[in-house]
Amino acid sequence: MNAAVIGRVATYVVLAVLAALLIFPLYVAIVFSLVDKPVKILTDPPVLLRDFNWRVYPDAFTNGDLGRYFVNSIIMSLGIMAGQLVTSVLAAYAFAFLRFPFKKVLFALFLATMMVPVEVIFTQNFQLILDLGWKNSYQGLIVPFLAFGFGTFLLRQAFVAIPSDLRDAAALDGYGHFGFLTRVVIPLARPMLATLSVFSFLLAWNQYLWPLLVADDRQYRTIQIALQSLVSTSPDKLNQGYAAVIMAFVPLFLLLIFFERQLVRGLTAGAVKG
Amino acid sequence: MSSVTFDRVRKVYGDVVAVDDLSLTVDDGEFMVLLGPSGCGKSTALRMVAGLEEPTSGDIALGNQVVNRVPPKDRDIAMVFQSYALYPHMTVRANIEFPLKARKVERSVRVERVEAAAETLGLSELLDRKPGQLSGGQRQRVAAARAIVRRPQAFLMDEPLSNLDAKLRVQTRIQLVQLHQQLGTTFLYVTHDQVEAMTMADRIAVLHDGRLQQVDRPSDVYDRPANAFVARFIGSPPMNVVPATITIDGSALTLNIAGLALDLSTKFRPEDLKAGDVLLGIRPEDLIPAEDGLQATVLGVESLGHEAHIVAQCGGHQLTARIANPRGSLPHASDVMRFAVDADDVHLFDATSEQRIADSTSS
Repeated sequence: MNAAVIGRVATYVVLAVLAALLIFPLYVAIVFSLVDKPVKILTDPPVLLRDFNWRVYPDAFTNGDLGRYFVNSIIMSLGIMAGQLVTSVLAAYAFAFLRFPFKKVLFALFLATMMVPVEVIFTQNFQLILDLGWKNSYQGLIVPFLAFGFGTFLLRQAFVAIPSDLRDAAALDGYGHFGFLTRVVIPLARPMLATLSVFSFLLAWNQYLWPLLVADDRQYRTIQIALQSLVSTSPDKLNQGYAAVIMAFVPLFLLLIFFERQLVRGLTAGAVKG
Repeated sequence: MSSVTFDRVRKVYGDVVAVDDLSLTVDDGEFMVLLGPSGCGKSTALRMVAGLEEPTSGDIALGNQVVNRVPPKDRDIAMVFQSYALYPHMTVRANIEFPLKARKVERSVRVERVEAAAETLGLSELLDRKPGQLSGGQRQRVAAARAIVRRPQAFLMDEPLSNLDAKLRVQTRIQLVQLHQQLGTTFLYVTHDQVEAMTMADRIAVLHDGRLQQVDRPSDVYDRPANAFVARFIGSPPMNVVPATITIDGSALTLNIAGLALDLSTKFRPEDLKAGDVLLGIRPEDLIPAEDGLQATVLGVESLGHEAHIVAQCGGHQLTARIANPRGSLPHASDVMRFAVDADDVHLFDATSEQRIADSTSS
């Protein structure tokens, strides 16, 4: 065996170990969710699936009233995702293609918002939402997250990579900023837009603290809050808790599969000459 | 169709003057080449006509209309970029159709005109491909098709051939000249390549450091360069420009260079010249190996088959001579040889201003 083969084998071994480490919690969650007698999880945690019970999933769904919370989470996540896409595309376009005073300073300010943990501004945002009377409402869940420094940054980088000759050509071909944005920039930045969509949906879907503050009414509660209450209120239904966790993960999983090709292109964009 | 006029146009970026006091008229239907080394302001001048840059002062007019404030999309001008600037996500058809869509041209008319433009440029087979699947020459033709499909007032071309290989460049040069003849539209073409300028242009405008040096027909730019810069820039190899002195004795005009005294009275009148230093210009093909004449030591010889260049040292200056169809034996390095110079082939430039000194043969 030569050095190249040994190197390759070593790479695969390291990757396999890392993959196992990442997949293990998911595996445990699946095994635990299918256990027939949940009390055993605490005393004698099962390693392999034996006496599994598929009923746990529908039971968890109805007991936890998950349908309602799923709908809330989807509305909130799609709302935040769509809003962030619109604001980030417009802001990124301005930073990439327009000439205006203090452009660099403003862009630095946008970047600076990425350094501030979102929890820092929770109290101010919460007060504002209370003043607007938006507690227990979808707008209360969505609006505070509509501007997204990271999204603007990500798309600005993608837009800057578009040759300025294309902007000039479109101008001579008869297109203003809006025509160039919709017909050239957005189609060309599709991989990055897909990346941002997934990322933004993921962040929104996994939010815990803000929905907990803003939506204490069951009507607006999101799936992550529901998971917590499902697990903490019924310790003898631990298996249902795990089943709910798996179900809450499914939309993200589908989203990742759906966007996988675009995502890989987005994450490696510009890495190689293309 | 319309003319393009620069009227005292100036463009300044910070401290840098890119275009300085440019006044130039490109006639309706003319093929004008803006020629100059990189950084001479030729592309900036072109981009100001397109509306992609705004002049700092002065006016740009299309026909009789000053267009300084008119946005690019309303100027009715098409441009071919050095990078071609094709939209990579669209097919060739969609690329060519793109400017028509912006102008809300009816679908059936669009199809017809896209096909006509594709036909003109030999792209009919490629309409459903994406730019990434085309060769450089094909991309260049798509860019040209996108420009002609609109039937604009004028075409602007920014070094459109510089990304093509040498052979394709020659072919495309001919195609562009044919296209110009077919369309009869004004062409404003930017290049740093004097061969493109000489072969394609009706007139050449030579720019240097943002300033216009000379506007003339290609043969005039070659035969009567307006100053030493143009003389050195045009021609391959370029004109030899070396210091010399003039002595005037009554009606006898003599040019002295490296021990050679040349009688200039056939070409110049005494009132054309002043005694003292001048710059002498001689085209390499006008330095003819002979028994008598300028004595020089050969530094090197480059043979290209159909011609040879002899680089030689003469009185502290380097000269290049061009020998057409070299058949016999060529000299070798450190050989001493002589070159005959005909007074009719001499160009003189003022030693300080470097401007051409007019001779009695020029009208």
